Amino acid sequence: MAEALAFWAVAMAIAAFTLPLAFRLFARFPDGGAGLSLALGLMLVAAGYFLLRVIGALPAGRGGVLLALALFALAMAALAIRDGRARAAFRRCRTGVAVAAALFTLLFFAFAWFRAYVPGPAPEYPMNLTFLNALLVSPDYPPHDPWMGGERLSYYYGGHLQAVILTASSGASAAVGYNLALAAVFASAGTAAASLCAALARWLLGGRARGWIAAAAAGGVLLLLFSGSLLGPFQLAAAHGAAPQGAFEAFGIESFLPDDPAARSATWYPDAYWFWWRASHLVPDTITAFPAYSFILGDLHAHVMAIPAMLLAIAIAAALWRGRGALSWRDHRRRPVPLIVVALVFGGIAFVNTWDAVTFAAILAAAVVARNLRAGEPRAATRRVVAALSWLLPPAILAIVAYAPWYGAFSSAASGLYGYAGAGTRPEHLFLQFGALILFAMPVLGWAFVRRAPSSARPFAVALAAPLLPLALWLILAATRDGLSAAFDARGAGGWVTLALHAAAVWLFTGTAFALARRRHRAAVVAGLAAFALLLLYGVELLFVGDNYLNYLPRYNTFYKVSLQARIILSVAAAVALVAALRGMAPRIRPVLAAPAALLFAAALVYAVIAVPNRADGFARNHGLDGSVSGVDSSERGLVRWLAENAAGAAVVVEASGRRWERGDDGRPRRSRQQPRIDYSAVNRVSMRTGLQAPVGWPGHQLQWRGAGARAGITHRQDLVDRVYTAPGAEEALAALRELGASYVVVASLERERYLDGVMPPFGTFLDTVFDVDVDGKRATVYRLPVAELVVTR
Amino acid sequence: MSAAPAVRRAPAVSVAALAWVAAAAVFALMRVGLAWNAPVGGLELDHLSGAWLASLSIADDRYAPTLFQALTALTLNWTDSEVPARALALAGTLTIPFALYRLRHALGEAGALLALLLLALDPAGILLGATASAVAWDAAVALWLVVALAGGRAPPPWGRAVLAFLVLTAGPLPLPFLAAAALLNARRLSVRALGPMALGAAAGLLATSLRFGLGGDGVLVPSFALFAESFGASGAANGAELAALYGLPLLTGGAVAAVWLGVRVRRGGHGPPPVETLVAGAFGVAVLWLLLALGSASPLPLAAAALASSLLLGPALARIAGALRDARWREGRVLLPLALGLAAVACFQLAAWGRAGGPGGAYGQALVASSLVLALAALAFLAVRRETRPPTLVPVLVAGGVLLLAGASGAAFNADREPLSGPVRPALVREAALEAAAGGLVVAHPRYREALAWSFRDSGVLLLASRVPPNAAAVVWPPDEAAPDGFVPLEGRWIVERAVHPPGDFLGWVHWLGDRGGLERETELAAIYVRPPE
Repeated sequence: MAEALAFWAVAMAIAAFTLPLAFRLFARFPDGGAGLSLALGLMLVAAGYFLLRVIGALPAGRGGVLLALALFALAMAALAIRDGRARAAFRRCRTGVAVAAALFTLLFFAFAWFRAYVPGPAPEYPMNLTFLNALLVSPDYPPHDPWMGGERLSYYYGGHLQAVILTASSGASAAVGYNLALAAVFASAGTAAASLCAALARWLLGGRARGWIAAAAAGGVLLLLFSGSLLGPFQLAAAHGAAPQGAFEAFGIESFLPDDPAARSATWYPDAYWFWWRASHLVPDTITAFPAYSFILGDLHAHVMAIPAMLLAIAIAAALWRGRGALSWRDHRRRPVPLIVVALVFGGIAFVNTWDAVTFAAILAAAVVARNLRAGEPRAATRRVVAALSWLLPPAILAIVAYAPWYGAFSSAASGLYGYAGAGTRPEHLFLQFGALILFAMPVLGWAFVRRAPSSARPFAVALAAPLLPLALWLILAATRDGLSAAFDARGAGGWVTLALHAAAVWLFTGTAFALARRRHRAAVVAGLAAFALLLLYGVELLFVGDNYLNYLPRYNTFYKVSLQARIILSVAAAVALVAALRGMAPRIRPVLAAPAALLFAAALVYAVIAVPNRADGFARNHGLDGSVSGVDSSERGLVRWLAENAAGAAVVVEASGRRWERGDDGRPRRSRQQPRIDYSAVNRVSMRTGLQAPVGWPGHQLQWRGAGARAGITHRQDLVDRVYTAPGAEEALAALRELGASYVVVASLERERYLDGVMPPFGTFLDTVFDVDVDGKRATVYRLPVAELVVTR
Repeated sequence: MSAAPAVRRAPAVSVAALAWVAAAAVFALMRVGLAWNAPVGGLELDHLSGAWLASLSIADDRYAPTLFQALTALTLNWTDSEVPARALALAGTLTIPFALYRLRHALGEAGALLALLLLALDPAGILLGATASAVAWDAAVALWLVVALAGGRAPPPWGRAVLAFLVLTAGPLPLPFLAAAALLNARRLSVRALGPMALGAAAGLLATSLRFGLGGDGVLVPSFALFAESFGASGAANGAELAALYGLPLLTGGAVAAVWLGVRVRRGGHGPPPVETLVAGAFGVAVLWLLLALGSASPLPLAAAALASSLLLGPALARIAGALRDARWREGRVLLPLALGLAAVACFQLAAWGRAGGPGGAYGQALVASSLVLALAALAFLAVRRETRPPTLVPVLVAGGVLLLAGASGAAFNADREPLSGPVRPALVREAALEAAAGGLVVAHPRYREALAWSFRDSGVLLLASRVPPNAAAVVWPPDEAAPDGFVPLEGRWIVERAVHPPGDFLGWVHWLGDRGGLERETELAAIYVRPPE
């Protein structure tokens, strides 16, 4: 509890420090941007900490993090003092600030409470915890790769760095900080959604519609964090034997029917193990994740930690769009603060989750261009677009320069843009996954048609480009890779229907956005966001980014990441559109929309309602917030603690590679026929819990991060680790250790389980035994390379 | 008639001047003995090790490098003694009375004098200002920073540049003052004012990043590095214990003074003097630092908080002195001595319990409880009326003064038996090992890596090895490890490190106040092995 309180206090402090800046950037938001201040502050602190660590100005460890926070607080305080408007802004927005603080507190502690009841870690928990620890202990930056000793971390770890800022400042351990960081992301996403939706609603409905503004904010939070696919009601029905086969087949989810039709859940929620996980595989050969699923799963993954940043990016774009006057590069000279903020935030989005960089940069660009076009006469449109681009260029350059040290160490497996030649998404699945959000957003179309202006035909004509251009690109790319006829043949009938529906929706929403923008209608931003989200969904039916899955699951990652972006954007647009539509209707006919909307809303919430108790095992037992110690014996814990306290931050520690070895018929060590899985296991548990470097870890993931070209190197490292543990004598083991650059070798339960039949050499005879403990028959030993160095004292 | 001859007056010396001289003398005397006699320990030991290695052009994490530490490394080129470095430390520290003299207009004559007296008796300040740790000049730099910012006359541009250089090449103690100054002057800062400071800071940054000639590997700001280290320092007493043992009077007094300042400002409706605002802000930052570092054994947060507190408390005490002078003492002529007497009774009983090692029987407990309650009641009765309120502070001031004096005398005259000084490493192991080796190779276990740098300075070439080579003449080895083959132990008790633990509980603390030499000591021993006689 103390750690949770400290964590919360640090988060609140960061949000409070950032308020003066938020007030400046989000002056037209009802809460002054208070709900976005934590996301903004963390982004800036993490960027500053990263840069100062790279140049060596900050040391490793908690002290360096606290210094970064102190410098940030000082900078924000100085900004507030020089600005002089912060106090007045606070007085004006104090209700919004209080609401944001209360909402954050509620969401944070509620989620932390839920996490305490979750019995086991998420699949990629070892990887994410390893990153947290590595970022904390790495003696220099860019940080070392804890699973590729001697190399720099090649991943987008900006979100993990933000988690480290909170964890180290509060004094929590990394394992507890993992869960509390999830809670902070959850809460920050909630407050950010509330702030953004409230702002959009206020611009649309006016300041007097307070109740409706609050409803839009609440709707945004619910749609973003708690709504899931419409699979939820089906899964609930199936668990209680009320699953009509016809309905399941109609929606193409017959695979979700229970194997045993007579089986019934013993609890009111489905009690089948991890039934909720299946919602992430609704569309075949992809992952159909959504925030509720991700938070219930509990992986502190980049795309999860990026959710507040995505909302922040949309908010900045919206705030810029809402401003007056055209923007150009001259504005950066007059007002350098927005330049720095935009550069660090949008550059930071790539740092947190590279998949989001292009999407949200495009939203920013669209907002700036739209503002400039709105600010002038149509005949000067070209000049204003050029001015908008001149405004965008300096932060773009600064964003790349600021994060250049990270780019230098980052290698990607992305191999380019390809045309998708597959079956496509069935319309039934589209409806289940996104239907509720799309339907909630549809009222925005009414504004273009109900209040029709004479010139609305032209915007819709121009909007045809929105569905046609991606289609044209697909034709070109598909033709060059698989051939057009193969691409056409591969797409099923359902896939074509989905494509057509998407194209129509994109055209309609884009046309509406253009029409509303032309009339300077404030609903343009809502329509624009909805159009953008639908364009993303349309795009993943046509195109994908090539990666390691290129040849067997081509659009696996693209669909996963881009559809999540679309869902987040659509959640915001849908909440505001629905509330605005309800408010615009006469009270007598309001139920016509409200009733079905409520029904659909409820259906979308069913997933979260039934998945949460299942994930928490019925809230039967409070496991605490430290998920790293479950199933770990005392000897192992002592070993980890010794290494954490005594090994230098740059040390390389050899632990089992994950492969299993045995003694063959000829008496020599050989790899066992049956090999256990290495990725997603806790094989690299020492580096996971200490952040120290292992020669190699999770080879499959390393391949994804570094590309196929790294395969040989990865395999060689695994072989070297195995040679350490299976060497016939000291010389071979020492040679392998030297080649790995390692100074420690661990022998505990896992090593004994993977290196069978006594294949391990007698380490104690040629290495120093620096830690050796046996508790309840479980022995754990740490060996170190012998030390021999001359010390000159004069 | 001729005019009367002019009367020649003897030169007059003002009372204030005498007071300044006396206070400065106290300040100096509390440090000279320590600088001359105290064993090297704690932070000083780490930093001297770093400086020694730097003098040999060997990079080490214990070389911060502040300007003072760089000069220490320079002195170690000519001597292996810490005394010249301590003399340098003392020279810098002894500018503090001059800095406070410059602040007398801002703090008031009495306020500045009392602040000097408090600083003279600040245990953490005594230790750090008279020993050769990397932060030896920090307090002086911090005070001159306060003089420059709020002392009345702004320094000339070259002065600002020099000060910026000194601040950037100092340790972390000036940081709270810098933070407070930055906030207070945020609106007034101009490029013109910042220019010379930026130049000085840049020069300082260049010097520290190049490690004053040792070569660099990226930007290095020693105050940042030492600040970060203050959160992870290990030792016998943590920050909370050090604050309780040595910082209670100053920290409590500083907190009360800060609150009182806020109340006065609110009542008066005008801003406080700039120097008090600056110091109050610095005190707040330093206390936050102390609270965040409570689990660490570093004395730096305590020193920073005590430094700021002294500057806050001095003027506050001067006001209290004025209030005491104007108070109606007659009306308290019975109750005040009664309260003091009752408090004394309770203290004597507690001291007895401390000696006995445990609380006494019911009678004693009742006596202590009733004495304290009655004393408090008497004071409360006096405090109700405004005219008699000031004298109620006398017992508090007396108690605070006693604790401060106890801490100061312990730090100044009893350093090797105080938890504040940190662990010491006697030279016995070195002497015995070198004598046993008789010119041959001395081998030490890697566990003693940290201890070797200073303890074994100027001992030729040693081998740090986890396996003893055949040509070793003497081996320094952990006693809990198996003896090296072919060697026999040298008889004796060889202390590698000795640390003093703080009292375990309140009664232990009470006992310690009266008997400062009675704390538990933890010693780390080493075994010395030699070749058996042939």
